Amino acid sequence: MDFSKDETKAISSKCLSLIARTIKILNRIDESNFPTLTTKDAVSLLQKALKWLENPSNLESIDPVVLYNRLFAMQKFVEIVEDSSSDRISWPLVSYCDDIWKKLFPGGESKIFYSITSQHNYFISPYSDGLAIAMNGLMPLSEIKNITDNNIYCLQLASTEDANLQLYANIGHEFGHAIFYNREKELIQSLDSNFTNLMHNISSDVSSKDAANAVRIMIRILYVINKIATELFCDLVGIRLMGPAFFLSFYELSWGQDNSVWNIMLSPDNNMISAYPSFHFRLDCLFTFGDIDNFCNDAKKDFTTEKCLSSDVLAGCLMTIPRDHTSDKIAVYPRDDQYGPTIESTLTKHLTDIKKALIAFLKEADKLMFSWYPNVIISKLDTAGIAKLLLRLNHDIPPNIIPDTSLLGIPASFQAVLNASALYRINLLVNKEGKNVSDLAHCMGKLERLTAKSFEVTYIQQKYIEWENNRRGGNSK
Amino acid sequence: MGILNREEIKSRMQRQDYKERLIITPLLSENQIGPASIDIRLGSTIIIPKKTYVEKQDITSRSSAQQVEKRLYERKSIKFNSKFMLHPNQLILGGTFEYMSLPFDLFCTIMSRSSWGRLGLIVATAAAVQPGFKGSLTLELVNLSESPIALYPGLPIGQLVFTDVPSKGAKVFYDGRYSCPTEPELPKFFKSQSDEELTFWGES
Repeated sequence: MDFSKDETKAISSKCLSLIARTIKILNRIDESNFPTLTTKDAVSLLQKALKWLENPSNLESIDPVVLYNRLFAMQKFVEIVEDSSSDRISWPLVSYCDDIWKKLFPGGESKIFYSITSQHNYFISPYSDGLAIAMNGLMPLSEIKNITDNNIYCLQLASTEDANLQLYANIGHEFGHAIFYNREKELIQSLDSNFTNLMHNISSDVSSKDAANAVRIMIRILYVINKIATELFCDLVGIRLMGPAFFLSFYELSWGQDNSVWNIMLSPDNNMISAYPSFHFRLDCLFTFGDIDNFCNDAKKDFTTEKCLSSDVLAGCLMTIPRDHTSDKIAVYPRDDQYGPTIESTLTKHLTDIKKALIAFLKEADKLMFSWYPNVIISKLDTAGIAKLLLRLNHDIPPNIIPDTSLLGIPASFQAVLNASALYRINLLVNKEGKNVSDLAHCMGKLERLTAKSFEVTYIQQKYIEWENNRRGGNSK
Repeated sequence: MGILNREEIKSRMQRQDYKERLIITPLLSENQIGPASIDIRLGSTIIIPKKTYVEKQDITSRSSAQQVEKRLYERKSIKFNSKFMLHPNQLILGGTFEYMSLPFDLFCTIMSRSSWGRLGLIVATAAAVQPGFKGSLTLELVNLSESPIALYPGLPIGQLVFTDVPSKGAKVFYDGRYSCPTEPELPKFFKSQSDEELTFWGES
C-alpha cells in the first residue's frame, strides 16, 4: 500500500461506504412520524440522488475528492428529513401552515415539508434547489433536473416551538420567500419600475466616485436592493397572512438589536450577498401596511365593550412601538471589502429616495397580493371576535371559539387565536407589576398551553364542521 | 342536590358569568349532551408508561417519586386522523379533547361509555373532578380485552356526569396541584403539603 498512489482509491472506497450508510439511514426513517407526506417526497429526492451515485458506471467520471466533500455536505439534507418528525413538531401548527401553503400554491407547483432547527427562529429554504446545487458537477444537469424536478421547500421550525408561540407569526414572512421566488418576474418588474430613475442617479454617483469599477459596484448595489426589497415583501406577506401578531412578533425580534442600521453583507459571490433594512423602517412599513392604526382604534372600542383587557394599555402598546427611521444608517460588511466604502456612502446619500421607492414597490406588491390571494390574506381582523377570545383567556379558558348564541360557538381561525394570544402576551409583559418571576412564568406558561390547546381543537372542530356539512350534503368521507 | 339532566346542563353552559358557567369546550355537536351526561373525546396527546431501570415505583420516597416522573413515561402526540394501538393490559394516560371549567357548585364524575366498556376499554379510574377545576382531564386508559384497540384523537370515549354541590357559606374553589392543564398530566406527588405524610408511611 502506497498512499501517494492509492489515496484516491481509498477515498473512493470511503465514498461508497458513505453512500451505502446514508441510504441505510434514509431507509430506516420512520415514515409514520412524518408531519406531512411531503417529507416522503424529500426523502425520495435524496434516495434517487444516492442511487445514481451508487452506480459504479456513474462514479467513474467523478473525482472522488469532490464526491467525498459533497457527500458530507449532503448529510445536512439527511439530518433535515430525519428531524421531520411529529414527535418534535406540533401537528396542529403544521396542519394550519399546510392549509395556508396549499392556498398559496393551489396547483401543487411548490410543496413544503417541516423540520426543526436549533435556532431561535424559523426559516424556509428551497430544499430541492439546495440539493441540486450540492449535486452540481457530480452528475449531468439533465439528471439533476430529473431528480429535483419536484420543487420542495423546507420550513424549519424552532425546536422548542411550544414555548415560542410568539414566533408562529414569523412563518408568514418565511412563506413570503417562496411567494417571491414563484412570482419573481412580476415583483422584479414592479421593483424595476419604481427604481429606474433612482438607479440612474445612483449610477452617476458611483461613476463619479470610482469609474473603473462602476459596473461591478452597480451590480452589487442591484443585488443589495433586490435583497432588501425581498425582505420587505416577505414582511408584507407576514402581516397580510398573520395580522398584527406578526408586527408584535417582529418587534420582539428587534429587542437587543441596533434598530436603526441597514445591515449589508457583501460576498465575492453576488448570490450570497445579504441585506436587511433597519428594524425601525421595517416596523414602520408593517405599521402602515398592517393598518395597525385602525386596528388599534377598533380594538380600543371592542376591548372596552367586552372589558377583556386594559384596552388603553394594549392599543397604546402597539401605537408606541418605536419605528422612527429618520436617523437610519447604512453599514456595509466586511469592512475591508474593496467596494464597501463606495457602496456605503452611495446608499447613505440616497437612503431617503431608496425608502420612497421601496414603499412605492410595497404598495404595488400589496395590490398584487390582493389579486393573487384574495381568500388567504387578511385585510381587516375581526377585533370584536378577538375581544371575546381575550375575555376567555382572562378566565383561563382557551381562546378556541368565538361564543355565539349556540352551545357550540364558532371555531376561531388560526389568525384570530394567534392574534389574541399575541395581544394577551404583550399585555402580560407590560403589566408585570406585582408579579414575581414565578408568577410571570406561570402566567406565560398557562397562556402558551391555552393557545396550543386552541390550535389543536379549532383545527379538528373546523374539519368536523366541513365533514358534517358534506355529510348533510350527501358527500360523506 | 342531584345529577344534572340535559336541560340543566345546557342552562349551566349558557350562564353569562364565566365564574358561574359550566364550560366544556369545544363541543363538536349538541348531540354530545345526553339525558344526564356529556360525551367527552380523546385529545391528541398521550403519555405512555414504559419499562425502565427505576427499581420500583415507591411514592413514599421524595427522590423516587421524582424519578418516577422523569423516567417512567413517554409523551406522544397523535396527529389528527392517526391512531394509537392500545394493547391488551396496556395503560396509557390520555388528555380529553375538551377543556372544562367547573363552577364552584358543581362536582363531576368521569365515566366510561358502555360500548367502549364492552370492548374492554376502561377510561378512568380517578373519576372525581372537584368544583372549580379548570383544564383538560387526564384519563387513565386501560385495555382489558384480548385484542388491541385503535384509538384516534377525537373519538368519544367517555362521559361526564354532573352533580350539584350545596354552596351555602364560603365558596370553596379547587386549588389543587393540576392548574389549567391542557394535556394529560403525570402524577404529581410531593406537590402539595398533604403529600408530606407519604414519607411517614414509607420505609424509615
